[in-house]
Amino acid sequence: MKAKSHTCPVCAYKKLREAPRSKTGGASFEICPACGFQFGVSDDDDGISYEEWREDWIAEGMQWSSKGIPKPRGWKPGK
Amino acid sequence: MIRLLTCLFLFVAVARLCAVELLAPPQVTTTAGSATITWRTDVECGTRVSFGLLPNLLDGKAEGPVTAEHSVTLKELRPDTTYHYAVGSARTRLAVGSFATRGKNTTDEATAKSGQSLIERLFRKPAASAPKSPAVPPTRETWGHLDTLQDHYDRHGQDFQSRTPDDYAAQAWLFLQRARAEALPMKLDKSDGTLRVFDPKTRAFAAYNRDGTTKTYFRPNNPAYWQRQPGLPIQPSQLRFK
Repeated sequence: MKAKSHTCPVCAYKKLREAPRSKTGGASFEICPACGFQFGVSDDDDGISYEEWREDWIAEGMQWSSKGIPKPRGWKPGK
Repeated sequence: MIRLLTCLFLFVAVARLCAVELLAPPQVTTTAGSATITWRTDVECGTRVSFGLLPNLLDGKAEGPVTAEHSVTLKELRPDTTYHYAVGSARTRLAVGSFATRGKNTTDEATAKSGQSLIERLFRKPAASAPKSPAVPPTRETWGHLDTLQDHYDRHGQDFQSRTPDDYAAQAWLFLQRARAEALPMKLDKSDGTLRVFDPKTRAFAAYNRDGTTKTYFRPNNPAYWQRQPGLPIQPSQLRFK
């Protein structure tokens, strides 16, 4: 069975392993491999909104963020 | 040849002049909202204290004049809080240490733990009675998704002075073992099985999957971070994984 994937609300990357928030509102703590936003840390601790992170990420050229997860073939920012 | 020797002599002479040595460990006196750090050097040099809440994040700075008798007072500190510091000049770090400010209701000044020189820290022997850490399983058994470890280490490894991703993963696992042994605050979010653990003393926080593998491990900056975390309190004996 194929694992369900989730979309990053910051950069629209479609293969997050977990929903960024559980039903109780708890964060997944996953770091989006595309834009680098960490749910529950970038927002809840560092106080950065999705919009702010997205703007910075776009301004810096929308580079693939993860060093451990390879960039998918044909990946395009925002997809 | 003579020119070369002259340059070499000047270089050695200047290098000797620049070698500053600490004559005694720094002394710290604290109140609820301030700390005064004093130290002596063998020659006159600049005065700088870097300080912060984490030993690897000394983001506060205070400076004084060029002198051999150095004294810096840090103000507007939080009461009943442990701070880490380093003393030296702008270019040289001579010693590191930590102190705790007094509680709000305490009026007397107290001398805090003296700083240790870097050499003392590097070569100090571990306490003979220190308990042995349990053997840490391989990272593949303790970290939730191995391909995410590098990113978590890059972001949070410095919070714990981790040397490698494996070291960071091991520290996260050991934190869970300590949390169980010392009954640190834990919350379980039943909607996704996430276990959250927090140590109020060190401010270390970790989240674990329902099987006990690590999701992340870091030190939050926000003082209300733990209070805002969802989940119901759970006792170590109620955890389902080993």
